[in-house]
Amino acid sequence: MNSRFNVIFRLTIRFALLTTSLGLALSLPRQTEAKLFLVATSTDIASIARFVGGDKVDVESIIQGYQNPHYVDVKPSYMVKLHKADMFVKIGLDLELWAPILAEGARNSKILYGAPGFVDASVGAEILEIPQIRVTRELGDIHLYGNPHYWLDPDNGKVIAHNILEGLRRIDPENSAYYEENEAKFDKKVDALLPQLEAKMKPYAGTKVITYHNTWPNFLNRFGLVAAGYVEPKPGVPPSPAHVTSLIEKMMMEKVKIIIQEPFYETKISQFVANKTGAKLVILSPSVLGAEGVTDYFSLFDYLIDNIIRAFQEMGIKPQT
Amino acid sequence: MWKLLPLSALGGLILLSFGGMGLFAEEPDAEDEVLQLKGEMLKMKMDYEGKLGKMEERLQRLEEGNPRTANRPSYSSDTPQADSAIRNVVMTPEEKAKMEEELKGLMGEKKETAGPHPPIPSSQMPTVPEAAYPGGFLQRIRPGILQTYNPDISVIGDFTGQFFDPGRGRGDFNWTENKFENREFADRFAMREVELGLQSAIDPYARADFFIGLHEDGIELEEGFMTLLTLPKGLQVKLGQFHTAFGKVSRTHRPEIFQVDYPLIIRNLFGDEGPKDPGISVSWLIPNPWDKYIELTQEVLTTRGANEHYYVSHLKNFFDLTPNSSLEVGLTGQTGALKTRFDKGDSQVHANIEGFDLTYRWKPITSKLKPYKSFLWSSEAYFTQLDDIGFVERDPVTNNIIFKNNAEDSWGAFTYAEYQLTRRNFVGLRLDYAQTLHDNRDYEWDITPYWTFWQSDFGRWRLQYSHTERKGITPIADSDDAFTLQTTFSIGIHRPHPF
Repeated sequence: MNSRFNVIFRLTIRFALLTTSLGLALSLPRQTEAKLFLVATSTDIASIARFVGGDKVDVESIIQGYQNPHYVDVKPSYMVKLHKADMFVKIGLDLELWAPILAEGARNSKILYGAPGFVDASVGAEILEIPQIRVTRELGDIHLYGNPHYWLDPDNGKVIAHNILEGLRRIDPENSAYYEENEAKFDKKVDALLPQLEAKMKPYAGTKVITYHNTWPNFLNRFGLVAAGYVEPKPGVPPSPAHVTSLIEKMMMEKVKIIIQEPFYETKISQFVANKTGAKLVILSPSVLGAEGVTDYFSLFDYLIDNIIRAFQEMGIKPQT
Repeated sequence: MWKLLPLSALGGLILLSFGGMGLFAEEPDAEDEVLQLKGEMLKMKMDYEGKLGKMEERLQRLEEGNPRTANRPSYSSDTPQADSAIRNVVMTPEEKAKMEEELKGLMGEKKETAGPHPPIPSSQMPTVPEAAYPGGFLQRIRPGILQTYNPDISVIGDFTGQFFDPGRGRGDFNWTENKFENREFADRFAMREVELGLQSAIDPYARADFFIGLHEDGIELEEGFMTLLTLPKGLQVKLGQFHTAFGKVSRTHRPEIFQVDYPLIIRNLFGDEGPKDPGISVSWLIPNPWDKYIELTQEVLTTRGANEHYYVSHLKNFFDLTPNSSLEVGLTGQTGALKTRFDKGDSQVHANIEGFDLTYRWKPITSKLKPYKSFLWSSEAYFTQLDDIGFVERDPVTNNIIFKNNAEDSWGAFTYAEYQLTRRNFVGLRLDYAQTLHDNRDYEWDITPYWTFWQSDFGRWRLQYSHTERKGITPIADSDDAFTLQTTFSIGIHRPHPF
């Protein structure tokens, strides 16, 4: 072997040894931190976890509010985050197909599926559109366990909070009373807010809207709106000219004037539909931190309801008395 | 009595006549009623139309009075859409066809718009009742639970069709036996590989992954390993047969890499399907004060066929530069037995290899940036020191068997960049350089532009051109060109690969 390659080889080995030694030195047990570290997949779940965990937890989310939760790159940096986590909370229902890879790559047995620190927030929530036949990809991206956007019903927010509470009880039983109190406060806040939101939307009950993706069934169901169609021909399938044309025809027939779309999809097709039908395209983030001022789970619903009502008013949709 | 018959008949006729007259006498009354009803209905219709017209007018006035909607095409405006809506004949077939053409232009690509989602053309969609989407007939039957304990099963098909031009050197050299390349799939269609994947948790502590390759010449275990997931101190152990932790590209199965084939240096070192052998892999997520991903992997493996060990070390460092971009830097060291692409049966060599890999990714996740753009740049370089070896080679000039015994240092590298044009279209370019392992005076380089079209997340088309130049002291084919069409398609659940 010539000297040049030997030098490179030796340098490589030395670097590896140096890094290994540094890592070993730093791998000594960390000082026990006062707060638990919770990692949630989404900002919505993280927001609820903050309410329940209060000042005894630090909470971070994997994805940001403006990201599409269906498609997330399995970045090693997320694994580092999960490596340190005491609890991992998922939306569940196979929305985050990327999450198991992260959890396994994190080398943290506390947060693996079935471990005390693993929480599936969907358990017990009202889940809509659970497929009742054999599901294949011919139907688009149908989720086998039902529509996973269930957090968009505040009543399901209470279920999420309860699931997080159960997780915290498991990993930190000493502070159970504190978490229970927080959860009760959260529930009370939901119970106070929900009738107000429903009252705001009640005059528009039955109003038809178009949505880009089938993100909103829980929200629409809760607040009495009706999905007249979707810009996607099937969930997760990009719009085709034939479908868009028939959607335009349907909107004109049924005089649908609102198109709701999430910020992470391209708007040109929806805008085209809006232009052709005289409808208004409303970009709405279905998640906390997905839009300005949407700082927590409660402000998410204020933001959604206010923007939809504003759009109704702009389009001359009169409240029914 | 018979005299009474005419009278009876007459009486009967009279009675019938009266009866008939009675019947006919009622007919004018019913007709009047029908006419009356018709008139009332007509009046109601006119009233209804009048009211409807007034409502339309009111609606029009309201909408015209709204400054936000004044300039917007609407049902109450004079647009053709509005007319057609009022006529309740929303669009004529011609109008529909025109709109579809307009949409095709807007979408930029035939029957697609964007995104990593499955873009199945609507015309090819299986007919599913509309109610299926919002939850119609899908709600009726409970899903089966028998498959709950089954592993995730996936099948990937890798089809290629290659046009190959040996180019210069054709007349004096048989390219199918040259020391650089053995193009198994040249100038033909081939179902290069069918990969069956079975993946599942074994128990709360471990998971198993099996990938079985079905090739034209038989079945081969691509990978089959168990991963222990619950070890302390950030450790993870893998046992079985697996792709080694050598570099970055070679860790991914061939059907899933960014080009049709592995780069030259990977193929020369390990063969067409990359490095894979049975062994044990221990990886450690190294804690550090910067909370960065630093992973050290140590592996001991046995060469298949020759049954000698070799050792692989890989250090992987990952940095998030911004929320939209990242950098991965890796170092690889390998020592021990090496079964190169030229070693068949129990033949093998011994070598040390050092490697360096660098990957930059840019993929915007913020809503303000374009949602379907991304960029990837990845480079790897490997330096090989072959120990003194004895090997047999066919002299390309005399065709005699010759015996060589020498030690050789060589190196090879590749770099490629890929840019996402639209939701489903990617273009890329790879540059390759590799010295031959046994004689560094011979080398080859390769330029490979390619275009990848994702029909959906589960179907991918690729068109690749490859031009290869060779130089050296031995008489070899100087160059060749290859056009390859690759189609890769999968069914079932295939877990995403780590970043």
